[in-house]
Amino acid sequence: MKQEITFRWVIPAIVVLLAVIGIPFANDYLLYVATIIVLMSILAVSYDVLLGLTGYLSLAHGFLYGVGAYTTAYLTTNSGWGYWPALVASAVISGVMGTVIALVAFRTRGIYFAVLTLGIGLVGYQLFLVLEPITGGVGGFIGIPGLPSLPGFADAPQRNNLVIALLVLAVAYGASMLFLRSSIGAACLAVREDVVLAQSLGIRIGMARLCAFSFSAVFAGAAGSLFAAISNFVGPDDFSVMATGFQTVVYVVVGGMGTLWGPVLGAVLIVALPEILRGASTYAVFIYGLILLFFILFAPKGIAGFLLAAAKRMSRSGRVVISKEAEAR
Amino acid sequence: MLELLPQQLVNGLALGSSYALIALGLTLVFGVLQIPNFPHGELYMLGASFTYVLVAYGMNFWVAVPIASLAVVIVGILLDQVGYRRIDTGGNLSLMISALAMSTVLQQVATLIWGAEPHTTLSPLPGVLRTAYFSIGYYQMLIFAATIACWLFVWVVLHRSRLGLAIRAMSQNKMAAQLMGIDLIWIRIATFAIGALIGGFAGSLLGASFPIYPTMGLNPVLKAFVILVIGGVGNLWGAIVGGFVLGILEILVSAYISSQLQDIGTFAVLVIVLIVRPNGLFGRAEVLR
Repeated sequence: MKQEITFRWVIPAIVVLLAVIGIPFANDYLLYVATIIVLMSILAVSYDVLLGLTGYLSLAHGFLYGVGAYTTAYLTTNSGWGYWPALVASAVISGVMGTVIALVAFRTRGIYFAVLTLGIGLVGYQLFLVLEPITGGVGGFIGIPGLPSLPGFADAPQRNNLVIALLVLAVAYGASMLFLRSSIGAACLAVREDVVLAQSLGIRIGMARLCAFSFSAVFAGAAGSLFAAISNFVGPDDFSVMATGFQTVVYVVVGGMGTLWGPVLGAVLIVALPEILRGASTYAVFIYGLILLFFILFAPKGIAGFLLAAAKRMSRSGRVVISKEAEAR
Repeated sequence: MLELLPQQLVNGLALGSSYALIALGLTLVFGVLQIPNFPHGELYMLGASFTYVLVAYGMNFWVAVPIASLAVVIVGILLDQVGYRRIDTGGNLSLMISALAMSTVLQQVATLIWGAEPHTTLSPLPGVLRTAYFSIGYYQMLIFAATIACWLFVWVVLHRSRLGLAIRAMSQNKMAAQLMGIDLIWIRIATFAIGALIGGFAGSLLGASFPIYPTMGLNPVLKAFVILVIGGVGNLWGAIVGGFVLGILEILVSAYISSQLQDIGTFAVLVIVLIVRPNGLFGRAEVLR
């Protein structure tokens, strides 16, 4: 437990350190990969609030991510909004959509919850294809304006993108931490452990899991909004159930459910891996599936589980050394 | 518009029988073992691919079908032994994730072996039956018959054999079944084998009327989940009826409303059914909050 709390601060500290050291020197390619990693981390951290804290597996988040992306695409390209209002609008609309979905989906649980959200994700994906006047259909949106530059980054758009993404990640991470430590977060943990017991203790479980779902939807929308502005293009294929929606589950499971910092590591590993394996790109998805299978079978607590076990072992061996020294005296 | 209705209904039945055939194996495994066997779609794909390969080497189609189906049985048993048995007590979440992971792995293996581009086999039974109201291919009639035959096969195994008795006992109460001297490991393998056999058989037959490619199983398995929810999990008759209902519904929606709305209609049905009856249309009544 103590190690867990340390990791909560150590991992963000490492990210900030890497950013401060790396950003001035990295080339555009590295910056782009790092930006995608950060985007996926935003998704993963906020999704962990739902999956890790309440234990509900939603497959509708690829759709919510898409709602954010299309909202920003539409508002900035067709309606001439500035980026920041569009970001807020994307998060809000995605959050409202998420709340509506949650009100429906929480009538079920377990496997039915997963299948129902899968169905919603599929309907949503089809809607992106069919609602051509708004979404552009199969062709999608092109020519979406990029992110506005922060002071000092006007001549380096890639650096600018990464810094903005990192800022949003910081907000998402901080908000998730606050959520975890709030009374609603505690109620969510109770829902995960035992719904009936939680209910009989007078915890309003409906409210708790609804908040968790809406929370993750808001940040999925924000991540989608960033994605639209960074890639300047939005097409329906990124938002199918098996694309981003499923990948988010992978990040969280591989990283370690319920830890919030673990999913960041999961996103780093899973996004960076195909880039490292670029030479063997035909095997990339295959390896990615094997990794997921390996983690769920042999290490269901993910990377976070490994790190925590290692930290515990180190601190224990440290304590043993101290006690032996004491004996020697 | 309306004079085409008999033809549309026949088309719907033809599509529905392919859905029902796929849903049958899925509902068996789901009903008995409570495993959401997503790779069932990949078993279907492998059935089609194996048949394609055997036919390409000059084997007769009707000889290739049973060989391919039996090969898929081996893959199906392996899936269970590798991916599900270890984590059977780990809860729905790990089972689902493991299922999705194995699905991806099988798709990728197929892509590495056969490539991503679609292949087609010639229909082994060409020819069309024409009547005053509708026309239907002989091969589609064969698939319809095969669906009914598979349902009968599973029903007879489940209700008229000692193995079936053991399978039903296991699906009702694992502990009690074990105390009665039933070897759960073998029953498990048998259940998976039957499920995979039907999945492979479905792919083997349907590969002759649909293009064969590594992700061909994804959409049918999603439809099969919809059918499961409509028909009730583990309900064989429900899978058949649900398959036909879904097939006819899809054809009618695409014929009379818009072909773009075909899939939306399907998944909207899923969502509505789950909202009204959170445990499936014919699912057991259970108070959920």
